[in-house]
Amino acid sequence: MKKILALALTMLMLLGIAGLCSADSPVTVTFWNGWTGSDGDVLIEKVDEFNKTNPYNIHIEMDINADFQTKIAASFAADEGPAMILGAHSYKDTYPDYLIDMNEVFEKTSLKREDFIQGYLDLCSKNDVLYVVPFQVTGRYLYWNKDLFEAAGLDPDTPPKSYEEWAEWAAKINNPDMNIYGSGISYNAIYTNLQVIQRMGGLFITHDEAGKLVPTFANADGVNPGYAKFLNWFKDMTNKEINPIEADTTSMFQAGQIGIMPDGAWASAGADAAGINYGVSQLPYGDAGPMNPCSVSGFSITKYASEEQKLAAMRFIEWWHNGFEDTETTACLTWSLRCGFPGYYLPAINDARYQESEKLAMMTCTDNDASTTYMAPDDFTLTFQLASEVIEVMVEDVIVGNMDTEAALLKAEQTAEALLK
Amino acid sequence: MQSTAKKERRRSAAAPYLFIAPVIFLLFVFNVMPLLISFFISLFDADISFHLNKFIGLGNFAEVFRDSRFYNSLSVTLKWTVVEVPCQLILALILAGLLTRNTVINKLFRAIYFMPIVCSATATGIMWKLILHSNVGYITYLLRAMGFGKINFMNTAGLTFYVIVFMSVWKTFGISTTILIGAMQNVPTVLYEAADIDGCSRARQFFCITLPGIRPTLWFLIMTRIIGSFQVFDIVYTTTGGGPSLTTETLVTYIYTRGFEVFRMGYASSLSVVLLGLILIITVIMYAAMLKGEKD
Amino acid sequence: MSNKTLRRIRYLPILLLLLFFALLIILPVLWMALSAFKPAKEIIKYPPTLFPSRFDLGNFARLKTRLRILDYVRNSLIYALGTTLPSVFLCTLAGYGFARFEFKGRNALFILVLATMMIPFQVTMIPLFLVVKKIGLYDTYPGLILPKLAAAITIFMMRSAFVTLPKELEEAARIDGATEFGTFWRIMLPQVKPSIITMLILGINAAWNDLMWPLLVTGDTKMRTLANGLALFIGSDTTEYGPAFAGAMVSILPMLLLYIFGQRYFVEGTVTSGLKG
Repeated sequence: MKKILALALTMLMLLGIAGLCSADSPVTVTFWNGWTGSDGDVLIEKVDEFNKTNPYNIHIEMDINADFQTKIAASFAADEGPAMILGAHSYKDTYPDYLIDMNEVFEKTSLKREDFIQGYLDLCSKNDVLYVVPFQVTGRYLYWNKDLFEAAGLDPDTPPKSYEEWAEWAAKINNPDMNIYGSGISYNAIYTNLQVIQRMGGLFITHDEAGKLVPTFANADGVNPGYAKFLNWFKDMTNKEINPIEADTTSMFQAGQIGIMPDGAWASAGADAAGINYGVSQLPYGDAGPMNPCSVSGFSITKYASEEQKLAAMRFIEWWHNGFEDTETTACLTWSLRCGFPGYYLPAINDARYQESEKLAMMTCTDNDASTTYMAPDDFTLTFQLASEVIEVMVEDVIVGNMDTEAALLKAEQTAEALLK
Repeated sequence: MQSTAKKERRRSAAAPYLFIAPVIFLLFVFNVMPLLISFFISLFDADISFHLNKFIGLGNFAEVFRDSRFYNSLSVTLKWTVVEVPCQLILALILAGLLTRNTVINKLFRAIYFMPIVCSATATGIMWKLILHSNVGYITYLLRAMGFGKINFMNTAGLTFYVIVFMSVWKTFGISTTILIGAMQNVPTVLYEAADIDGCSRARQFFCITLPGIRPTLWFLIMTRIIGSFQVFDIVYTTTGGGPSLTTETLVTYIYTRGFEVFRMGYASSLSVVLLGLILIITVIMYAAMLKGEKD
Repeated sequence: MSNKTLRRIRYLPILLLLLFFALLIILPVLWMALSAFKPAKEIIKYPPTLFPSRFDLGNFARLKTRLRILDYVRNSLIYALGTTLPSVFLCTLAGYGFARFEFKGRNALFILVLATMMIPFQVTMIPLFLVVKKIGLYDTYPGLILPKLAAAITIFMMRSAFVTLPKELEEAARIDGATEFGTFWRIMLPQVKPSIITMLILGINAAWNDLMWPLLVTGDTKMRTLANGLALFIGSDTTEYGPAFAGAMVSILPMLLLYIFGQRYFVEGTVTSGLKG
């Protein structure tokens, strides 16, 4: 007992000391985000660089956290918050009352609106208020394993141009003896799959003639043929064991066990570390025509930032894109070059190093006809619900639950209608 | 004399309240109050930032009882109680019975069985996910090499639930075993010596002496495990996330995703309140059973 | 055949059973431990392997560069000990109250205790956070610790432990004129030492691995705990298995030592055995 008491006392003392310590600092900008993993490495490095080199006596206090979403929700609910966050473009619908209008950044700093690709700024704005300054454009891409292509007698430098070709080539790559699968679509990577589904069957919600939002999974004429095609295409590949029934196909690609796979830009870091000889390109267009659906993440300043912090945060955002006079590679360009995210900021895109990167060239969509609309028109705000309650359930019902394609689509139409009420 | 006796009695009347007061106070502030807030929020169509301007009364509750995904998660949770709790306790009883004596080898086994407890849930989650991966998993590979064929542990609608139950038992049976060993060692050795003289078999001794001797501990374990089965979250969240096809989606996982994936705080709160109702009923029943068990 | 050999032969199937379960534990943990020494391309590969081709310390080096590991360990210690020690003390008091006294409202209050134990943390964490914020404890050590003090499971465990003690013990103390607290402290408490140690170890371990609460309630990164820091390697889109496993190994060690050190007390029974029954 005595020992425990002594320990308790020691603890109390420790607590006391911890309470006394307080550091006085320059302008500190708290900066929360959820960029874990190897991308977070680069972010930490860049923030350190800014902290060390900026002449304004600004300190960015970054907190990267895997549970950022939960933490920010709780904080806002309790009327508390950091000065700056990295969030998604959908935050304009989720947290409009907590974020300030970022248009100010074009007045207070040297950043120019014209330097940003307009479509991405639009995605981050609502009613002319810019809630998020772009930082990363997140789309999904086609990865293919060049060694496996070669082994199957395919040209290692040409990815499939259509989903028919995808299935056909995958069948050739398949090698059950080595446990190698031609295609690697994960049945529950919903934000990846919906990019393929949308390319085949178009937006999940559209306006009807009266301007009302309606789901597109089925209508009086029958089910959406594009979605049905996706489900049958996917199901057919799993039936033939060309595509595994597996949630984590990313790991398999890293192990060299997958021929063709859709995934985000972050997959390249893992594939590089694993020493895979791979290529990456745009996902093929489907029957719904040219499109490049993507979501945008970026910097937001919250209403909890003081005027001083606001200005400091904007200086950081300015630096991120333009650097200082002696900066060789801006952080924005580094982000594209090292993490593989395609550009949204013209000075970075026009940089020779960006232009020379083969990978970035393949990933940057230059097709001006391609629509960037993501999932649904802008006035539909429940994209998370649509993805997880309707689309994910639909895919799993068919692939894991063996539900009939038509039945799954009719069910999806019903749940989506319930959502819209 | 009389006055001191009176004083003694008066002190006894206040004493129990003094013993429990600090804890009850803390429970009230940090457990009951949040529950009341939850109940309040559940009356609104609140989003993630808790805008309480759309009062909808019991509308959320009406939705809960029409929600097929709620019933699915409830049945997954009940199935968990029925499968996991007995598996865990029977295994722990057997192992505790075998490891009661303090020999060096038994101590070693106890330390090994305790190891998963100290691992973080997140780390064990990703470890199992990778090691049981249908393609690159080490254990899957070993089993395949031994001729068991391709087993898809993590992605098969009927099987994955039991795999997660296994992971849960794996992670926690060490603590049940440890607590039972402690209890078994406190059963007076005299009783066993007498039984030995009477020529009772080991198995009979276990049922006639050990089990009655550890009854309070057993009750403690049964109740905490049942309670735990209503709280299953980490192990699901870090491995399957509720899939495939919602076959591992427990109540808490469902509530959590309502709140933090689709941002419906009002609805998540009403689900929590329903869960609380269920929990209260079960608590009262178990408590009554426990009191009866202790009196026998 | 001698008696001894006979006993050994009969022990063999038991030993095999124990070994089987030990293997079930050791194989995955060993795989994780060895993977902490593998470069990324060896952790995930086909066919998978158990042993690394050579022991590579790169993952541990990354831990060191990415995380302020010493700060995290200090915070984890403060959080784990700062919550568990007072918590076990208060809950032991309460457990004693529930076990050894008849008083009005006992059943109702105990049901309250049990019910709060059953509420999963995930469903009340935001309201709880609001409460802590409202009473001005956001981003403070009391805010971190106070809500975790009333641990229903400890109250329950201590109640179970005290309930089994014979009545004669406290009566003897009363005759000696001890106060209620004196009886508790000097006579009853030593009898339940194994349970206390058990709850201490479990409590420290739970707090050590607790992810969500320390994260929610602290805004300052200087107050981050180890469990939270290690979650950095596990993202929603990508997981860096190597550093994650290396981190798991680092965080397991202190807890394993604690167990080995505490085992002597908390599983090996006490001299009280003769008193019970």
